[in-house]
Amino acid sequence: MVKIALETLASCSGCEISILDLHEDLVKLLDQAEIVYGPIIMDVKEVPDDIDIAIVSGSVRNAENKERLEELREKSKYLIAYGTCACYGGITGMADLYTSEEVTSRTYTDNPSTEPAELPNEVVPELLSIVHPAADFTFIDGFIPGCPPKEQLTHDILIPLINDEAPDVPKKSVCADCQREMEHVEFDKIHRRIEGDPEPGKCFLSQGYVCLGSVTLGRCGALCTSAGIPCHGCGGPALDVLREPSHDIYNGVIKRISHISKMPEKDVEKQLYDIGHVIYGFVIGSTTMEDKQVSLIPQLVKK
Amino acid sequence: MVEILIDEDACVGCGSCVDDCPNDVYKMNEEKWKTEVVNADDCMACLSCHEICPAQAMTHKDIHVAKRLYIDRRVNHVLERMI
Repeated sequence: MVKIALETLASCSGCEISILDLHEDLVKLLDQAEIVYGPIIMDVKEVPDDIDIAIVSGSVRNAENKERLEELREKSKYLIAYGTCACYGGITGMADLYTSEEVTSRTYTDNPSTEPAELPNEVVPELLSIVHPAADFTFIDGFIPGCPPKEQLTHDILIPLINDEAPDVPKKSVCADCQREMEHVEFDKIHRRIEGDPEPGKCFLSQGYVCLGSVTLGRCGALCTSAGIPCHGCGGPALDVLREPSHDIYNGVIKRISHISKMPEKDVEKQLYDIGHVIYGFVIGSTTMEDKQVSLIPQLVKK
Repeated sequence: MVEILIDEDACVGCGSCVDDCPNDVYKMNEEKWKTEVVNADDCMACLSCHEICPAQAMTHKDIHVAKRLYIDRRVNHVLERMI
């Protein structure tokens, strides 16, 4: 039996739920594998020894997260960073737009929607100064980005891995899955996502909405765009963007919009708003994305 | 000669590769509204179509990709281990 461990660091636990979303396939998986550790779905406190596959989701936000991650690395043969938070810092990385003091005071002493309370200082682990993806602290054997990785993808990856085979899954951008038609249309105004009614069947970029589909790793079945919502980039950067030192999510989107609309890149840049959330929302904690010379993340992060 | 494969499911029909290719290798298929390789002989494997394609719809077979002068070691680590 292959021993699997699931660990939730700083995250929403949606990644673990996505594993439970395998439904009947979970039974098939449990024929060959045993989940030996997974605090979110079973009553277990300590990490057992001799784990075959450890699946870690969430980012490293405090000292306890870091300790757990290092313990899992020591006790497991194959460690997977599962989900965008573990791979790139994900949505939790947006805390880096504020200082630790701003974040804690907003939660405890200065929260407008609850009674103010004192900052807890006993029994709680120490907060790190910024949010880190798992790869910042330890060697990772496999990265599976996604927010969360969709059940079909998880199925196509986990079943071969348990059988000691290499998984064969696509690695294309969200546009590859999207059914909307991209056209070159001249326009000079970028709309906010809340403005107007986007036409169904037509690419969001061709309509002047900021959609991150072309710079985002897909395999999600383009769920958002088929439901009428532009891509927010939850899958992390597309592999082309990640690979090339001169490519970045920000300049990729600007080039794409300018190419489609014939708008000068400078004009597109002026109209983009709140890039910390709209453009870099899911990768702001990532050291690999931050270290690119063209990246604007260093200007946004408050350390 | 370079063999170019088009993933028609992935192609979004934007025609960017048709505009961008310096050697007019691609043409729009008016019926399917997908790109089509019409002139593979002229392809010099510059891969500018890879750069412009939003959906990574094309694959060039058996080409020699020049080793890049600069690739970050950490980026390589992630790329190699991306499942």
